[in-house]
Amino acid sequence: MSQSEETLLPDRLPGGRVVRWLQITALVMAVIGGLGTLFIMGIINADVIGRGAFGTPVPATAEIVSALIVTIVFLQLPMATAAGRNVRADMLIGKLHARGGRAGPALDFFHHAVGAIMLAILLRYLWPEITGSIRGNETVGLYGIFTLPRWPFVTAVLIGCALTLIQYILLAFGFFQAARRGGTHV
Amino acid sequence: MSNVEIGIASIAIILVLIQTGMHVAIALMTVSFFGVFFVKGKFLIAGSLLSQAALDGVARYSFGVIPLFVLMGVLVGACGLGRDVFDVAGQMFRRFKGGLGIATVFANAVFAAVNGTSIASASVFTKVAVPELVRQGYTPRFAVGVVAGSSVLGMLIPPSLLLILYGIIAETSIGDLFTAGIVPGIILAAFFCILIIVMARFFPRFTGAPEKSDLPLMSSGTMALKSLPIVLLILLVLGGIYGGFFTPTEAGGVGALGALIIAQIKGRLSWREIGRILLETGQVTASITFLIIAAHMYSRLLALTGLPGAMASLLDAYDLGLYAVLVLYLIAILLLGTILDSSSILLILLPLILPVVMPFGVDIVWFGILTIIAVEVGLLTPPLGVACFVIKANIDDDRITLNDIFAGAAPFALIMVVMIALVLFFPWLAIGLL
Repeated sequence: MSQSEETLLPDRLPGGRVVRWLQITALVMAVIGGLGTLFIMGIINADVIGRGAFGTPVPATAEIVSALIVTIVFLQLPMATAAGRNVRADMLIGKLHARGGRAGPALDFFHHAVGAIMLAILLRYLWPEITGSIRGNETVGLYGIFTLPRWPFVTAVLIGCALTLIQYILLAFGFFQAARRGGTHV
Repeated sequence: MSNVEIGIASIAIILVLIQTGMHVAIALMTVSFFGVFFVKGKFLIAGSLLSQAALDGVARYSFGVIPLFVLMGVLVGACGLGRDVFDVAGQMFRRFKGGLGIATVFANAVFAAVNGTSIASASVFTKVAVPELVRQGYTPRFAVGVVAGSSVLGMLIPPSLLLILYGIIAETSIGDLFTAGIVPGIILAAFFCILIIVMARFFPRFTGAPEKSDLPLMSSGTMALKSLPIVLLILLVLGGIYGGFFTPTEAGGVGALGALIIAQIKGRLSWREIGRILLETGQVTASITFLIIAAHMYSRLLALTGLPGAMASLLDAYDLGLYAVLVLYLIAILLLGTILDSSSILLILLPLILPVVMPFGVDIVWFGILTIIAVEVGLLTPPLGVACFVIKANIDDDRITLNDIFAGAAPFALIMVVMIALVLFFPWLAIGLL
């Protein structure tokens, strides 16, 4: 679908051990998400082959895939955000950055600050849903045939959401510093 | 402010925010959250809309295959299938004037049958075809134009991520949509070829004066060997769908595994490479799906404001016929296509227009094909032409500017508009095979 491959990131992110650790966490989560994608691939093929050749489909494939996709997305979102891959129209912002000066980083600071606020709001309202689902011992799958506990799925969503929030804060901070220094290329 | 006015204001605000470069998903989330607050007056309702959409918005089987179709596209690109098809096609069309241009279109059409995104097509063929076209004496402008133009075939010829997205929003059969995309896709490819022949003959200043092809001739054995993997993959994916072995959504899973096996047999993937492919797949998947989640929130806001219903009755009041509505709609898409990306257009516009056209009893599959072709024109038109951006990002040649790419793609965009008109007036082009 649509994705501009050029990314605009601040030259310098706030450094330090905590930040590096966060980036590694984002990478590890993205890799786990990637393995989840391979798992979906495996289970769908097992289902198709099992159904076609042996008349025995893999139970609850559709339900497991449905539950897993949300988890995979939120596992990979921190990394995609850190890499500046969220879909955006970069005509104006690209021009501002190319011109140097404060305008580009300042506008980008605003965008990423709004991103951080929205992720915080999302986290705030996800929290009760997710803790409720854990306390209620909810399951995914087909009741009576094959079920898995829901908590690993939703916990991963919560962690992914929190880390994406942190990535937005870091990026906003980076752009803020760039704007204060007086532009991207100074 | 009435609810409908809130709905209209929300559209305007979103367009402005997106133009300033805010992440599209964040723009949609922000407007949805505050929009629902203004309509309902309670933050709790607005907040639960966000959390519901995040947790349940994409929790469906058909969304589970988005990463798989992306993975398949990245894999077939990484293991060099695109180059192989291009080599074979180059030899097949070497006797035509503009032969290598035709070969690019042909290779793109074939590649489209194993790949669901125009982005993958554009990035693969920028690297494979553009240097070769320029070397043979085509102008750089024409070379990038051909690649940009023919990359749109990636999302018209099944499998197609955009058709899946449309099927999900419009709640119609993705299999039918895939079938309906085939004939328009082939006709469009044929039109592109004719366009290239005509331009090579009558506008040599635009296309450049290619020399006779000097590529070494391949034996038919080599050609067969080079085309075998992609032919097998096409047979696997499309044969499986139409043979009834698996559904179009499951085809993503089967196709990705097939592409992985082919990549391994060709022996070009190290573990490191596989890791890179998985990360790339993840980043594309996450950004697209996050966008879909946000659009889910937005469509709920639109429904709450009652804007779709108000629009329907407004159009009713003007007593417009179906074709007038359709033409207005298609023009709106073309205009939005200049400033929005394909998936955002579908996600914003479809919840508005579907309640309007449903009462006319239109065929939703036909309507989908019309929509997709119109949306794809937006890939080629400035200022936001995503296919052209991808080409610019993948090209090594600094002399080729973004303006060159837009100029080169313009004739192809025009042909697509002609194609929209054809499908509009001859619906059987799309739904004849159903």
